[in-house]
Amino acid sequence: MQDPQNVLYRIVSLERFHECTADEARTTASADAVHTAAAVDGTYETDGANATDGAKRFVLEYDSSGSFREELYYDTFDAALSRKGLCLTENSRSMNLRDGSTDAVVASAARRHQHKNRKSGKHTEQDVKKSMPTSMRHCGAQNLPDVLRKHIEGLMDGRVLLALGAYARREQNYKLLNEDGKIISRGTFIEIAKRKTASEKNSGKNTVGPEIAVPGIQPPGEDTECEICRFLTAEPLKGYEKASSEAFSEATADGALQLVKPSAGAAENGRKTGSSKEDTPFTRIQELIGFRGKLYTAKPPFYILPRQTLGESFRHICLTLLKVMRQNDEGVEFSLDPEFLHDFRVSVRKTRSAISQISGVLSKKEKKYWSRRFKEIGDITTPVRDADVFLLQEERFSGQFPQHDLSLFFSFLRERRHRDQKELRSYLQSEAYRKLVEEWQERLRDRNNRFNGKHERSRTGKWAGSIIRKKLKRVLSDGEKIRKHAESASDKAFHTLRKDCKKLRYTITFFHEILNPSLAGPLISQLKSLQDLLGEYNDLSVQTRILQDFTNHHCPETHEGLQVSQASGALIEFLGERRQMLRSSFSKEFKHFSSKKNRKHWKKLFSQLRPADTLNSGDTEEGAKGAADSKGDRKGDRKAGGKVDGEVRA
Amino acid sequence: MKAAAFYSIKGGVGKTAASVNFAYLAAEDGYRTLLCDLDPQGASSYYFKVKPKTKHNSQRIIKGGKKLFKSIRESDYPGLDIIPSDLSFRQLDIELSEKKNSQERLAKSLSTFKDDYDLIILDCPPNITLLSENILEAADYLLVPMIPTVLSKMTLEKLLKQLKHMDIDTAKVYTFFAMADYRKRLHKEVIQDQSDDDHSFASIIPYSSVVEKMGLHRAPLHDFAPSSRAAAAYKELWSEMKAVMWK
Repeated sequence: MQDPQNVLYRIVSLERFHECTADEARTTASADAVHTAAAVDGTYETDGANATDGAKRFVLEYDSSGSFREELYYDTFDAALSRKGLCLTENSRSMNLRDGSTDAVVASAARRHQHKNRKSGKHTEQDVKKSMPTSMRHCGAQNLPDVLRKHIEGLMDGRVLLALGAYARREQNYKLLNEDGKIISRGTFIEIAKRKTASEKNSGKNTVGPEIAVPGIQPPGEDTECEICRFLTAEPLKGYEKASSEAFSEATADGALQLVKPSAGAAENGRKTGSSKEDTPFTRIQELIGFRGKLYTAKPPFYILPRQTLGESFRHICLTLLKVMRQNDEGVEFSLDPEFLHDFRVSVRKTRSAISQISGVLSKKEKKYWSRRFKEIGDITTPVRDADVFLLQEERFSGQFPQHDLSLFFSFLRERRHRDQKELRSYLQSEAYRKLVEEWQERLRDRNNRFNGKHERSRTGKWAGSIIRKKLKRVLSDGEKIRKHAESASDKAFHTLRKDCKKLRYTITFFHEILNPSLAGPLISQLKSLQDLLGEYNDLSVQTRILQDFTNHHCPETHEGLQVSQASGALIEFLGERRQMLRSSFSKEFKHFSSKKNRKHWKKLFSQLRPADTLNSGDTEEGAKGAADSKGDRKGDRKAGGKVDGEVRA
Repeated sequence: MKAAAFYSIKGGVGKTAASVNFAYLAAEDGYRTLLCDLDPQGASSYYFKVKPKTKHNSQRIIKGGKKLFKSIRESDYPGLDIIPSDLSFRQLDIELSEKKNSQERLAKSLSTFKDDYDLIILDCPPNITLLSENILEAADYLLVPMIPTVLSKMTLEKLLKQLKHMDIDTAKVYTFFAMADYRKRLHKEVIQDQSDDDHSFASIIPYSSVVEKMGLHRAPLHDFAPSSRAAAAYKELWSEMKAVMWK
């Protein structure tokens, strides 16, 4: 059996709702010829005088109690909830997850009482209200009430929720009665307005809103005028859907309420701004807190054109990566969630890759200089990330060895992470980091200051294939060496191959737009699967090293220490077994990756690069010559005519 | 899902008042409840201010299936839905007689709701007809209101006889006294006489003018007179019924 649907309207005519509180209803109604007030407070009654013939009478009865609350709006840094059309808000009483398009509550949890009455020891309503300004500015999934957690933890993907802004929400429930006095619909009047929280008003400081700059959000200024928006939800009772809809149509015709569907707002907005967003409480909340719609993404597309010069593409790729780096550095500084550091590190690594792989753009000297500077940033973040990876698996490892108590080890790890994070934070706040970023940005933006590399002015389309091919060749040759001696290959060899794969993946990402997507897609997914294996292998090696370091140097020589040492021993053994398993499965995985069929695919991918369609023959010849001249690529490019397989095998 | 029918061969014994008030109490207790008004007079529909959507509800009742959901209307009280009666219900007997397995049509139709409701209350018209036979067959519990008079006892005996004739287990019959006036010696005696019966509920609904006012308020007793003596009696009786239905 289907339940009736919640219907959402936007109220166009503003006066009615504003004046429809229980106390004011009578005054308004008596002054209005269209409506006559019923004897009950807060009731409007149509008499159909102005309506079309045959219109039925209905009564709108307001509940005497309404609510007016300050609310906080939450989402993750990458707006994971908003992307799914979900709206998470919190007021002094509850935390609510709503469906953005209908405003219907998906899940709701009463707020945890944070303050107790000192004398009675009881939680009072006043106390709960007091706790509003101190409401959390960020919150991890583990701190969410279960009823909400189960809905959004999966979407959050390890990120924290940030309080993105405050607004006010006024609600008043109503009933719609037919001529028999039967309820045909229930619903709520909603008013969304700009609001400073009480603490903001008292202190004059911004106490709500994110601690860090969030992409896509630009808090409105003090003086920004924001229209108060009113909405109405209608929940028709079963069997009264048509009657309810007719009643609202009549009310609109009658002038009692001017209602439009949210999609009408979309059309209106579309005319104004070109957006097609529906007009709902959710979109209005986002508007009030300064949501500009350009959401954060960890993997922004580079939009490289084949005809662009390699130097221009390099500038563009590096500037895009720098933007991601800058977007995350504040989150890394505050250590809000491990994803900030992850994305920060990826953008640093990609930048290093661009510097080293897009060869022929930077001069040798400059290449060396920037590689060293970015390596420094990468190195300083490594200990924290290693600890994060281990700590994220704390629950799993503790569950794996219930007989051993690993808590002492994980406390040690947490302490060490805290120390390393402090160091990282002070680096990010340092003049050195600031200068590095500024200097890099300046270098990339200043188009008059050429890079002086050999191929800076060559067309990207000609080079992309050669750059990717060079990395593929390396992966295939290094991988093949390991495959032949998978059991005896060193950890270092695995690590090197892992780095090779990353570089290959990054170069593919840089020039993604130039590649044929239907060919690149399957190859990327196979590369990803190989990377997953190598990534896990590397994590296990790092974790083993951390455990060994702890057991040898930091484990206390007490009875407890001995027990923890035994536990770490067991864990090291477990990690070793898992590594062995991965070694065994490497051969199969790599064989698949380097199969004849795949090599053919790669070949096809390189032969179908888009520039072939866009470049003229003169360009192509010049490109082939340029490629042949390029140091280190000479051999590869000579054979690029179709002998990738043979060359790699040799 | 349980189906409970308030049934009596005799009219004016408080079937509708009982159906309306017990449906309300069941829903208030958290049972997903459907009140099915089978009486063409439509009194219980009137009490809940519900009018039928179409004039052909009888056809839907007989046919069952998903279309029957279209006849459902939600009451003002959470968890309580109603299939209102309309004048087409007068022809239920004729329509039933034209069908195969005419005695079991209602049972089959009600099985449509087995996942949607915990309790279906049937408000039945008086007398013995083909519709009544359907009700006797479909109901898990036959709840018979009785005014404490000799005539009521006689009609109960007739009902039991009919059930035996139809080969239906008489154990599903439970009786209770309604409209009892303790000032009358006869009422007292009849109640006394029945007290040993296992299938007779101990709680008694007193005669009360407030019950008659339900028609005025068009609402269950507990909505407008929750602290009245009659409301308390319905509540006690509901507790007994609950104990029997969900042992």
